[in-house]
Amino acid sequence: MNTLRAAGYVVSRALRGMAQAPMVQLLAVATTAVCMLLLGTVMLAWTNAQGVADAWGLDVPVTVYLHDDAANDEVDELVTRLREIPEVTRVESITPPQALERLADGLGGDAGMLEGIDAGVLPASIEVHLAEGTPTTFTAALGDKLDAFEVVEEVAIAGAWAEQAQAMLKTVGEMALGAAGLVGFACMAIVWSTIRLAVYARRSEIQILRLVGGSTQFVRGPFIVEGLLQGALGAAMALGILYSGFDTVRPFLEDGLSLLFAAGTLRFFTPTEVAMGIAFGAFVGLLGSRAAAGRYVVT
Amino acid sequence: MHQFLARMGRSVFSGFARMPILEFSAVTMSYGRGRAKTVALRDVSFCVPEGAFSVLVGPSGAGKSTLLKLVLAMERPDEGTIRVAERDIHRLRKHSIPYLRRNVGAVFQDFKLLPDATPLENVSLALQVLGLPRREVNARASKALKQVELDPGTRRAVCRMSGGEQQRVAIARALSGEPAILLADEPTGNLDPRLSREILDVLGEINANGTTVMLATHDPIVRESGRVTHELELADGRLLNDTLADAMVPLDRESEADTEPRLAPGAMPVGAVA
Repeated sequence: MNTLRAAGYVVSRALRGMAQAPMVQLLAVATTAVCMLLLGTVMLAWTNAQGVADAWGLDVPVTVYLHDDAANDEVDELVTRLREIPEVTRVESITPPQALERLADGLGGDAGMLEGIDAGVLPASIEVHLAEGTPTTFTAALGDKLDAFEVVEEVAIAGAWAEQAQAMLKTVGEMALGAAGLVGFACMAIVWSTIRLAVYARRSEIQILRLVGGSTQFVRGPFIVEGLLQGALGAAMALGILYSGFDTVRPFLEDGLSLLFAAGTLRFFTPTEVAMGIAFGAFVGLLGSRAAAGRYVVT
Repeated sequence: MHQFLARMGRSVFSGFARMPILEFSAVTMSYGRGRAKTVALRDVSFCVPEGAFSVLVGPSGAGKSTLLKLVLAMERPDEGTIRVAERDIHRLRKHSIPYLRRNVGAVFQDFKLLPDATPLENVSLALQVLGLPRREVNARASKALKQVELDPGTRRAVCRMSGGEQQRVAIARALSGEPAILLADEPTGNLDPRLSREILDVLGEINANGTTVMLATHDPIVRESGRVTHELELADGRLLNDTLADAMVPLDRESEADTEPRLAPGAMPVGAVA
């Protein structure tokens, strides 16, 4: 119970501390938000590019479309034989209803267009995933061999351009990771300097708390909470701005994408991803404030 | 260890009258290293019996403040042991030091108060550290303020109060945690003689209620107040005299007390001063 009360004090003192210097806090949160916005934009672009690539099936090197009258045992035999190939990492059978569901997912808000369409119009298929670095010559040879099976109607092979697109996506992904690192560091620096100012401004109080027997956690706690809140608020603000911007440009982008790639739905971060973003902000804030308060607020 | 320290209040000693609550054994303490090394205390040994009104006297730089800092574990001795309630405090782990400080109240010449806060808020701060319920914090802070004859309900910030009132707030804060010992470093140093006497009266009352008081001072008013029962005289980091009034004899000296003179040769009997 005492710990709970102490935690209550720590949080309320942190909030009071923030209220005591509102301009400094606002500046820190806004600067953190700008950094986070940069990261959020890169992450959102990468997430949607990945989505477009998935919709196009770029992530599947070989897709085997089956005849409507293909017997189950023949399909099973084909799947078994494919799984025995060392270069094949994953084989997935897609039934017509599953194909329709995927199509609906890809259309997003326009999924209503598919209403009343029978899943039977779409062919069953087998998606074959290959190990990274598999030569294109192997993929082409595999396609030729698969074409010879009676149950197979058509074999679609993602070409060299698909590999390039995948490589580009990978680069964007790596850039997003790099940006996350840089932004994390920048946010930490912002929080660190703000908390150092707060520590300096409240040095008398720190000294008194130490003299009356305040534990290190008790004395340091408000600063840690302050940094954590700065980071979380900065991330939340960035996500809010990003959502507004995204919502405004989405219709234009989707129209453009439909024309260029025939893949027209874009999505914002899921609630889980939003929560993870805010948690990331809180975490870098915590690290920054821990570093700022650590050396100066000890027993 | 925390439980031990939490129980370190004076109630532990009830029934063990004249037990030493503070013991220094051959304590040496220095600041700096090499050529910059300054020895602040040299081979200092003494005992403060429970319930004593002890004063540390000596010129500036004699080592009085260093001695108090050692009791608060703000500094560590180079050699020797310091025992508070029979516990060697410099063997405490770092995370246990706050528990020691909750049992040793401290008052300073510069008060060390939050200037923009009210007396109640200042005193409450020391109790919030203990994690007490708000109602109990308020009750105990009010009680401590009343004990030093201040109005707990005042909304005046302490920076608008007189030096004497501010020192009373600092004393109330030190008292609020019901410490086993109250340390005061030049508590009258910034006050005029009238306010100094007021503060000494307050400290005397606290001592009369059973709290051991240890004061570092070079204010003659303290020695003349008639409240002092134990006097330690420091000069250049050495303990010159350890003078104990007749009423207070620590246990470890009690046997000697019957056969040998209690005062160090040349020491001024405290009773005579009083």
